[in-house]
Amino acid sequence: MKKLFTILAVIAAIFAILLAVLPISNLAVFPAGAALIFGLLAFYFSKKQGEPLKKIIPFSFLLTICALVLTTYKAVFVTTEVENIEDLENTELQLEEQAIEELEGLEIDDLEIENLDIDPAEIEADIKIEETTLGNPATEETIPEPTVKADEIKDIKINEAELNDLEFDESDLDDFEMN
Amino acid sequence: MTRLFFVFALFLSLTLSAQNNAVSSNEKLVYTASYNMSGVLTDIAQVTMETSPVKTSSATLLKLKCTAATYSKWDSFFKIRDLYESYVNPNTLTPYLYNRDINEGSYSKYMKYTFSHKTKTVKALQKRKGKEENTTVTINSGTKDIVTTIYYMRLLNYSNLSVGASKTFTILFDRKEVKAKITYLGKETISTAIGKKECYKIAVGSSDSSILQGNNSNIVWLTADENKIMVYGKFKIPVGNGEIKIKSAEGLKN
Repeated sequence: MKKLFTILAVIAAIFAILLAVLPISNLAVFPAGAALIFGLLAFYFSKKQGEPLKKIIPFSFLLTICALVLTTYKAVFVTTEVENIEDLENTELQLEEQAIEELEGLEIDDLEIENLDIDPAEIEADIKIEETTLGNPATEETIPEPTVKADEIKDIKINEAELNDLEFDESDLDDFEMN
Repeated sequence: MTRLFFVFALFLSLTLSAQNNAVSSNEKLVYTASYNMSGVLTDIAQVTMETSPVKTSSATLLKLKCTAATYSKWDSFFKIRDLYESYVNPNTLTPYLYNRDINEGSYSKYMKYTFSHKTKTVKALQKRKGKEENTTVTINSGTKDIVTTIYYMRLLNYSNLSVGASKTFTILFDRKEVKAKITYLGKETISTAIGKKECYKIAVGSSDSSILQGNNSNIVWLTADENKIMVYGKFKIPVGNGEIKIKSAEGLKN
């Protein structure tokens, strides 16, 4: 019985040490607990039988204590953090550039632009009006040249017969002002 | 990690249209994902969910981004660098473009969905082991990608739901539509890293048992305020069970 518990204690202690050095160090408490129990049982049977204590039992205790110290240290002092994400960030930038290019070609027709939640400062930053553009507007309206010249107006002849045929509405006459 | 994201996605989505009064354009939520090993929770990865405005010549869209990265202590054993992003309508969270770039140990895959809501189709591009595959998938109206679905759950009005009420929704994942169901379990106050919060407790289930297992085994807690951010989640997957806890929250809308 003493031999069995000694072997189990050593195996459990080795497992505890292995788990303690791995990222899953918090799992080391299970074999460490088992190693302590088996070690104590081995110690008890050894005393009961009156045999001298073998060095292997204290050695399993030592391994177990080392595993527990390492586990506790990692749990308390080692902070979990993410490192080496440069590749992920580069991929993200690359995908965003490609996505914007692709989105330019898509029909985004159901977008209610007026309801967008956009910061006014953001809009101001994007709209830049150059002074030169305002001073010399490129979209100046061109007024078409009159097709009838003043000289031609003088030459217009009105036939009296045409005037007689004209019909006036009374309401039109109300708005008429004589100078 | 793919499953973890799927768990996120299953929290959500309805076919009815909702207006965005919960998701701001500059928010950042950081979570810690833990895995249950023999009853002991071990922190495995950091999950970050960020939003930002993206301008095109015709409109300003909202970019929804989810990244997952293993903590440095795990990188030597199993390194995960996953990126999921979706470009959506900022008001209705209708997706237009979705990218997924995953690197998990020796496994890597790139997926792109281009949504056409008029024709109810999605052009899917998959790159894996140097091979490119282009396919067109027909979708139902209201089908969303996984990232949009995660955010879309925050637009739902849970205060009107009675305990036990459930909703079904559709997610496009791995070029297949997956049906999922959420069940409202009531309100619960829990302690989190950002304070004590009253939350909506929601159970998530999937029609695909290879993704999520158990009845009411996958539960998420959303804050019972206008922001409706997820602060805690428990999930059961084929390879075990785990948790996701909020670490920090910045730039919230309300």
